[in-house]
Amino acid sequence: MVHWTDQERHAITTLWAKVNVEEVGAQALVRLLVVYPWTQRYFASFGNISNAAAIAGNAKVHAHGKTVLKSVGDAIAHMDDLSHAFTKLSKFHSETLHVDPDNFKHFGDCLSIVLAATFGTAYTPDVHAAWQKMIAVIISALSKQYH
Amino acid sequence: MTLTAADKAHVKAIWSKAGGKAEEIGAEALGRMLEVFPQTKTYFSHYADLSVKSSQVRTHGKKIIDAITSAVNHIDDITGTLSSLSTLHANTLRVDPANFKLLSHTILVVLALYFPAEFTPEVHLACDKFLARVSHVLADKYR
Repeated sequence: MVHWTDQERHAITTLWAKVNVEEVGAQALVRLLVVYPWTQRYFASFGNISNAAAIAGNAKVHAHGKTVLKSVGDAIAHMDDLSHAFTKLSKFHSETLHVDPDNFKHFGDCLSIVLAATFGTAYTPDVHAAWQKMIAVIISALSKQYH
Repeated sequence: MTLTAADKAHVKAIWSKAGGKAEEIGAEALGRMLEVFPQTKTYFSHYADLSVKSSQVRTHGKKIIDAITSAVNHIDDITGTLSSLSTLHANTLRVDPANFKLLSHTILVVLALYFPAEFTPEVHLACDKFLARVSHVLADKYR
């Protein structure tokens, strides 16, 4: 069970309320595929993702970015019991998708960077710290069912 | 992972903007690292104030950014340019190299924050590779 301070809960939920899930999700996934190109391997069925421009314009990438960010929203809604809430999703990533858990960290880094680019100075150090903690908790929950 | 000509151009372009705000960007990057990854505070137990606004953090942050600027200006010889800093980190500071990744990450966050339009995915990629190279050089003499 993670201990969240009131300040952390407030920082996370207040910023989340302003997030455009489709936009931020797409940008974060685009960055993952561009900055860590080996991750493109998991998305071979998405069509043309051979260069940065193709990735940025790919409709399936955009749609999937939105899907991933929606799960981040679910995580926030279950932030007090995330390991349990994400059991199925973790098993899915491990047993079906076979995603290397290192990539969760890469996606988390991209998400933090997109939040900084989107919110600028509103992404203050303490808001940034709260979000980094949220991301770490999500990564931990998603990794839990791996063996 | 070698820096391509395009990577070098992207790094120089964004750094030409960042270098001019060295103290501000340095303070933000260092201060955020200390707040976001609290384990890094261990190296700064002698600082009275570890926040982004601290004068010690600002001064030290600027030092870090200036050193990176030097690496950008000599991007074809990062090893030579950072040689004495490499020795310092290996023999005196002995900062766990895992922390280079943490500071590199907060530098990228701060670049995105200050220059959202310029910090495109390709520039992000180039900077990530460049900072990884800098980190590698800094850790080179550790063992």
